[in-house]
Amino acid sequence: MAANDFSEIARQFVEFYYNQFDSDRKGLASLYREQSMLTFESGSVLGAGPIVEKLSSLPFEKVKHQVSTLDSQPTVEGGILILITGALLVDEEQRPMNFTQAFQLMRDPSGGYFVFNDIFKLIFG
Amino acid sequence: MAPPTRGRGGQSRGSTTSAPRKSTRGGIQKTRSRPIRVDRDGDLDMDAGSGARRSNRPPPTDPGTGRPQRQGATTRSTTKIQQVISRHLSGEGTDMVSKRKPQGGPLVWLEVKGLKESKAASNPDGGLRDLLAFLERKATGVASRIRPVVVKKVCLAIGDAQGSHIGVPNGPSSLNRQGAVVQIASSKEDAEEIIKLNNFSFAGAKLEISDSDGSLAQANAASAQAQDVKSKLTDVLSQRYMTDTKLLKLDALSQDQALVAMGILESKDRVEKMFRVMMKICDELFKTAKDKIDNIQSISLANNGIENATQVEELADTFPDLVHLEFSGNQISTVAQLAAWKGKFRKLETLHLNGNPIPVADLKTRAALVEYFPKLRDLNGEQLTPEHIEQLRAATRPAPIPQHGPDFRDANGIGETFLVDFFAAFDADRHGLLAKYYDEESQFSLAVDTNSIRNKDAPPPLSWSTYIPKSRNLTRITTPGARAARLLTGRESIFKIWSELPATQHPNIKEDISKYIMDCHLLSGLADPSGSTGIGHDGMIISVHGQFEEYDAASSQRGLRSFSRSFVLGPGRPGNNPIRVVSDMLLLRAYNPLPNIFAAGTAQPEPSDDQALRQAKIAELSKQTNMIPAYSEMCLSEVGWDFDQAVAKFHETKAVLPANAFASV
Repeated sequence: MAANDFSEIARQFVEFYYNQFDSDRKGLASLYREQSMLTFESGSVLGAGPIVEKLSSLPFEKVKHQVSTLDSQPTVEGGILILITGALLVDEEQRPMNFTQAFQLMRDPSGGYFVFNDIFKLIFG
Repeated sequence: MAPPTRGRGGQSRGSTTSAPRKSTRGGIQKTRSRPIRVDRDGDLDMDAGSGARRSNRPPPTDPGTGRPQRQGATTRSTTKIQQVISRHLSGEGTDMVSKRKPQGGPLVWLEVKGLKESKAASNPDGGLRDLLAFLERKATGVASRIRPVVVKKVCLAIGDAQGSHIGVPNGPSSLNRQGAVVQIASSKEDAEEIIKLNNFSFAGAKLEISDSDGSLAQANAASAQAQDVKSKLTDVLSQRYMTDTKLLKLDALSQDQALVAMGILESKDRVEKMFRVMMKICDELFKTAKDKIDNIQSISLANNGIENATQVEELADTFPDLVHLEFSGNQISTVAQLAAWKGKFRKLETLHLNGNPIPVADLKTRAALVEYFPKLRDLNGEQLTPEHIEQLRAATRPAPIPQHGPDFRDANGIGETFLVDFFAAFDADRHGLLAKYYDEESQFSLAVDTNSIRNKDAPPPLSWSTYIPKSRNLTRITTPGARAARLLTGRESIFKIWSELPATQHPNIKEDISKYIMDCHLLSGLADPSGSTGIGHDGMIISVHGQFEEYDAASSQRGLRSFSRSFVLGPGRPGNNPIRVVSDMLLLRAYNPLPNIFAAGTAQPEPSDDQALRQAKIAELSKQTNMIPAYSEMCLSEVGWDFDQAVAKFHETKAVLPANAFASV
């Protein structure tokens, strides 16, 4: 059912993304392109190389994302908008933090999806 | 089978006799029923409660020297401290390393012969129970003291010492063999009483009790030596105590002629042991916490070459309420070398570490010191103000991911205008909002996060009943049909669901910007139906986090909720509003305040030098341009932190900056 393909793509993408992030975030490089933009808190980074460098340099070793909600909508040009909330646990810190992350997936000329926008925010008080 | 080695002290060589003793003498139970005192190391203090009444006992003589031992008020505890001293100084004591290991006094072993010849030997247990009861009762009687003499361990040597094995006291058969020798262990004091029973008659046989391996003699020698050491160390301590200033001056101990003469400064190991003994003596001299506070407020351990607080860790155990510590001239080079004292000096206000390699000016070092010594106010003579301490504390708080301001890359103020318009209209006129920004292809969905993390003091979450049937959380809604049904497309469907949602009141963005976190990014490649919008062919993605007050008419429930909402905006169609909502995703959480990113400056993690420079540039740019720091930072980061370029860029773009980019909104 074509109308729901994007939902399944979004679900699979999110599952892959956080598994990869939590085990080896350098492996996320394949999801980004030169025109991709990551906004991690206030800092924005353009391009797959700098994005992976930014993610790798984040000041924690162990990290675990627990996804609470996931929603997605098809957007323009075959893109998919994904909005996730969940809890983030880093290193030995026992207190989980709320996060939200919005992805705008776009298709490249070969038809594959890549992350066009990635906006991550911690929203704990 | 190899003969068992004749172990000492804690080495268990046989079964204890506690069970038989219990059954034979009721009077002892009574004396034992007093509360049992446990000393700091967790040892049972067997002397508890009896000391005061022992003063009428004739002073014990030391058989090794024939001299009477010191007596008076310290007699009782002398035993304990001497045990500590002798263990610490005799070079025995493998338990030097861990002071928490239980430290009973070393046991003294005596050999008893004659059981086999006695009539009791025909008892079912070979007479052992009676023999032990006899020894304990008689020895207690001979000593005419309140506290009973106790045999703590028993070892039966069957045959003779060469062919011995560990016997079972209650085993009847083993004792019927020839030449039974009973070895008994007790405290040194008790052994001195028991050995007086030599040649006593027991059940028709003469007992032969001897210090066959010199165990008692050794203990006496060690005890005499320990007594000597204690007395000398007490002298040293008293000479180094300044009554008027309540200062105990333990600096430069290696230069102390008395200590040098004692020969206990020969190795680092022995110096550490000496320090432990000194602390034990202080515990003796000042028995209560109040005694210590009243008499010793300051201690100097300066110029002792100390490399790690573990070497003098006991200082914190003996003087936990110390106020001033002079620790200058030692070899502490990192905070970690003080970790042994972490949190132990709850009242320490002054810490001097001058002349140690540790970099006290370093922010991390300071922060750790403030954490280790929570009342610290004077570090190396520098007064630490409460503000400074709060800054240091903030620097150590866990902040694995720095929270900064938003990244709002608007174009011609379109994003900002949309948001201001949107939330006001969503509260007041949802139908009008839909008519203005939505069309037949616009999409809306909402999801509910019922598991979000909240502050402990946050109000209980509002009911989710209105939202749950509409929630499109794809981790829970898994069938294609349900997924499709909960994604609304077109004004009419969206209006239907919006009209079923509770009334809302969002904070005014302009007045209450700290209640929002908003990010905005341009999306290139969106088709522009009209070709004439302010954003050309671009759309934008906006991510907003915030809160609203809700009133649910159905349940009459009023309260706050937190939300996140993501929009994709695209160019409007000809004849309509210049922009339209392509996607609108709403996400609801139980209310929890957002981090106030505009006040976050005080809780930033400690800047590295590079970051400090950047912070300085941000501050200066904000000062020159009146932009809020988040915009200054954005501006600087876009030009690679070149300050002059950032100023130039500001003047290029200030016309299109949103009003909230400026501090004086």
